[in-house]
Amino acid sequence: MLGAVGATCAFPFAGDELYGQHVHTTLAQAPAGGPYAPAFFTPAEYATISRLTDVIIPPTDTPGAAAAGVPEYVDRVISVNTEHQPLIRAGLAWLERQARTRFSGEFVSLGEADHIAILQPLSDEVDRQQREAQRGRFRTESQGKAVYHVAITDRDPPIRSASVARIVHETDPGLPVQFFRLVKNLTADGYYTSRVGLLEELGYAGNTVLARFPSCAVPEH
Amino acid sequence: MPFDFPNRQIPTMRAGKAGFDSERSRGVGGKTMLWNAVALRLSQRDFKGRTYEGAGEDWPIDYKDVAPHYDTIEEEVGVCGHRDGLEDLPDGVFLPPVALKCSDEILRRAARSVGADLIHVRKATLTVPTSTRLACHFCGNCMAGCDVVAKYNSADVHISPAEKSGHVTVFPDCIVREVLVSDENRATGVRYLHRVHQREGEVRGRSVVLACACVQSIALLLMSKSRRYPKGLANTSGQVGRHFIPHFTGGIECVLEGLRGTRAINDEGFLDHAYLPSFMHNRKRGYARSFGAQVNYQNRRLAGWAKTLGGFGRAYKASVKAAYPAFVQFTPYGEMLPNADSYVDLDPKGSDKFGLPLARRHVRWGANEEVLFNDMVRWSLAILEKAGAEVLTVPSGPAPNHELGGCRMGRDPRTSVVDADCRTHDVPNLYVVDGSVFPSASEKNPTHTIMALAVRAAGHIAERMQRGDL
Repeated sequence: MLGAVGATCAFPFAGDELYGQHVHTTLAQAPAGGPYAPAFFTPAEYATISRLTDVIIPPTDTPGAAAAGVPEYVDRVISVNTEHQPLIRAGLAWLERQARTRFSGEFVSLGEADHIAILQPLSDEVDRQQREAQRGRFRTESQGKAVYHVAITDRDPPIRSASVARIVHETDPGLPVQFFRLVKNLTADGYYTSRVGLLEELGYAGNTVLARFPSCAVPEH
Repeated sequence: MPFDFPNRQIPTMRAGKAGFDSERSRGVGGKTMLWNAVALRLSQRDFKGRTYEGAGEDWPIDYKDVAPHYDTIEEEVGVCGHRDGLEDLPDGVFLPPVALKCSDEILRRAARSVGADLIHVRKATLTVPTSTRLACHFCGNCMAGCDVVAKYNSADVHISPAEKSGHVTVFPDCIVREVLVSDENRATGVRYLHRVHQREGEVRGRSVVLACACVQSIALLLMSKSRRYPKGLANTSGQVGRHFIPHFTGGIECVLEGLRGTRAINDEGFLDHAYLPSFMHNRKRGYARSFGAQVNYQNRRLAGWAKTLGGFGRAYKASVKAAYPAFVQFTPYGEMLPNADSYVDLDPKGSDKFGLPLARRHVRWGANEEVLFNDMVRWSLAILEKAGAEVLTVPSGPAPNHELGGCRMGRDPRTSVVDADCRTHDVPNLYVVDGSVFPSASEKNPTHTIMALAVRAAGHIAERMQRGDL
């Protein structure tokens, strides 16, 4: 069977193996007043996940993830992509246990240093795995020189199916890292497609009218 | 998305799971509503690959047979580009090209340092207005649909005027389920299901032309079984669906150091402004055929790559902002050789919401594809390294892209489905005019050639009608 095409087919953005099969429900306009009532998370979970997204992308000179509406985005995505629910629920439970046993408080009440203490090892491991996956996949170093090789181990093209984390049990040692990876991915995607993230933070300037496209004006280029 | 298609329906690709692998656009205008509009002429090398290299297949036509029809299409729809004088990428009748982006300039210097080059892309997008269409205003929404019809789409540029002429009737919302053939072996029309009214109907005609986009044309032939055609319509050769040869890509994401931390500007443009033409086809190498690359092919609305940057918190946020103006995607496209294990068939168990059997695509990469893929990614990384790029992601393997083959063109009715005029060997008034007719794929984007072949086939059909032959 033919594998998933992801990014390279028609769309100029990165495929995401973790949730490449998003279900996009048509979202009704949010009511004018009142806070968002989460469809999946309990109120306590929602408070934790909101804080977590804000730790991942905090307010700086521009608003952070919470102000950008990312917690709501995460709840909406998780409520319809049910295969991620066990992981995120177990991960949040793990996070709260860390906060209470190591720092004697709920996650939302901890300070920045404690948040970093809990999350930095997870983030480092996610990054290390990402680098390993890239290296093992294609590029190796040999005597300081990059050697490029491709091992197509079977004759089928790789099925880029959603490599959904099968972790559901809270004592699974891989749980925290997979949980962090999922939440970071959701936070980044939600933030950088929000009005705050795309327009205010990144400075997206397209979707407007240019009479002509200016050529590059930088002599060095 | 700023522009939406409220009636756009994307069928499921995998039974029981929402989602899709490739775009299927079932509606007036088809995928031309959403395409990127890259418009490249195939070269004589592309038409005669087997003659040149002893591998793969030849087309039964030459470049000179198609050249006048490339001219016609370019004059009719407007294609912008620069006359580069390249033997392997023939020049056309061009509107003024669009300026290269800063990142293109950086990449061009790097490409030239390895003996390749970056040229202005050629696109079926207007850079000067016509009496009925505006020129591009570089909003970057090309693939969500062009509001002003600067980018070509068949609905606005061809079908709508044809309707207004009174010579054409369009039946929207009618899903064709079968091509009808008489006992005298003439195609008589099609049977359809109206997807809103849920009623069947038929349309009759003197000839039938399938242009459903590769896989759907194959599927329609396979599902139009009859006593005379138990293996599917026009399939006495057993070749329908066979020799499916999609392009394969190896897209790389990276950040150009020379642009990191610069101020974000409006460089959406019309997505990619540059193209890297094949340069390996004349060089000693361990494989047949070649690759080209679409360069800087992304819009700035989506930063899906942001999640691949390391860390979290303030430093992470700052790193994404700094990388944003410097992000580049570089995607080589390779040509696949036909092989017997690459084919399209119908799923015996699955059907879509209209009760039509789902098409299944089986792709087997052969030994040539492995070596070619390795080389095209290697060269891409080499160029990017020279350009001062930090590579974010490299491909895990070849990814299928433009779908081609399955009703291939050829002289021999035992090994091909259509002849040099896109007429099926089996049924004298049945034509297939889309990417399925390609006997070899080239590495170049196919739609321009599909359109030129359509012009050619239309001329042929008109001639036959005038002779009283249809």
